[in-house]
Amino acid sequence: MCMFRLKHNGEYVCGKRYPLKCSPTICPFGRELHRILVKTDFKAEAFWLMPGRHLVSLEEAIEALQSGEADYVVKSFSIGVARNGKGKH
Amino acid sequence: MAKGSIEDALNITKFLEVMKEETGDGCRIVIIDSGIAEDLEVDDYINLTDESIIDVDDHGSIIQHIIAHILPEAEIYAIKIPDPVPDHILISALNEAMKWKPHAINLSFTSEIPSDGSDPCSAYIDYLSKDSVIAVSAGNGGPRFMTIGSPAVAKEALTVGATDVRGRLWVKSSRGPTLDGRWKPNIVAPTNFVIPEVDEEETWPGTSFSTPIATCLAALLMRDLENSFIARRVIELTATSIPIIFTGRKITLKGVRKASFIKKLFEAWPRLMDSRNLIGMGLLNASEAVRVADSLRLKTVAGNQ
Repeated sequence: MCMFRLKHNGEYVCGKRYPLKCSPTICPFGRELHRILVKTDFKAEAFWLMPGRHLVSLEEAIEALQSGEADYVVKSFSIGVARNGKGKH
Repeated sequence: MAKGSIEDALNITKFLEVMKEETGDGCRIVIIDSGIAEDLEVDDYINLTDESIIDVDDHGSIIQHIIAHILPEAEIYAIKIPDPVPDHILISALNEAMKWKPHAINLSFTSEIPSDGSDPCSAYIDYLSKDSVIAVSAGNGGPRFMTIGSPAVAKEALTVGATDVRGRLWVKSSRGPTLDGRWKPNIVAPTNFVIPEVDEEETWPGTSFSTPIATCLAALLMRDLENSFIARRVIELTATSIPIIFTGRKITLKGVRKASFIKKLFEAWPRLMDSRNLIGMGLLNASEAVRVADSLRLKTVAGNQ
């Protein structure tokens, strides 16, 4: 799962290399890792504008990328305890 | 995984020798976790949930017991967070923790979401790490590679994997590298031991419970050296090299699905085989770390005179 992969208007775009679409050729982590990263996806309720660390909606995140207010966008997620083989997220 | 007592764990990490002279007096440690132990005191706490501050999950309370056992005179502060915790609440917790000016923060919460360290939690840990050592559990996603996720991937975090009480790598200890190719964890420490103050028989496996041992050492070094970067480097460079013993079947790609892809991945990314992605710089060695820190501190004092 990729924290930079944004689904907007039915298409996946790269939150690190906006407005380029998510694909093996543009993935900043390379073709092989891209294949692993897109295997599953997770839906985020909010999105971080980085590097300023502002939490916004998807539409606001896209606008921020378009205007240059954000350098890149990261999906918000949850983390869990590291106990008994459970790595929740 | 081999079980033992907390004394076994402290013995292989050479902490028993340190504890003969150190009680943690003057150390400030913050535990960001699921709450506090009913039978132990804290110097202060913040509750970021709508539940009681008391831990009912046998997680934060166990970590507090481990730290109190090793450094009984340390000042302990606690921040209760929900499990799972949204990333923005974790950032708030870290922000609150810094108000106590801790020498070390124990964070036994993590994810397996791959990151290059540019996510907000990891970036914030990097920012705070100039003032405190933040020890983060590596996670329990092993033996799969790249199971260390945010915020354990933070460059400046002291990321802690796990061994058993005999110093053998725990098979479930999460492994690196990070998404941008850095090796992690930084070090390993033992887990799965009995804490007599809690229970005579029960043990708790997981990198959650190896991390507080590293947190205690980090607090001692930070108190004396007052420099987080140097404290972390001393902990890493004094760690003991341990053999990596793979138990079970011999590792082979024969019959493995997508073997050709896996082979291509290893060829494209040979750093996957770097042993530091399993054990970091090795097993924590408290005695050697404290000795080196003392020597550095004395040199600094002599130089200032």
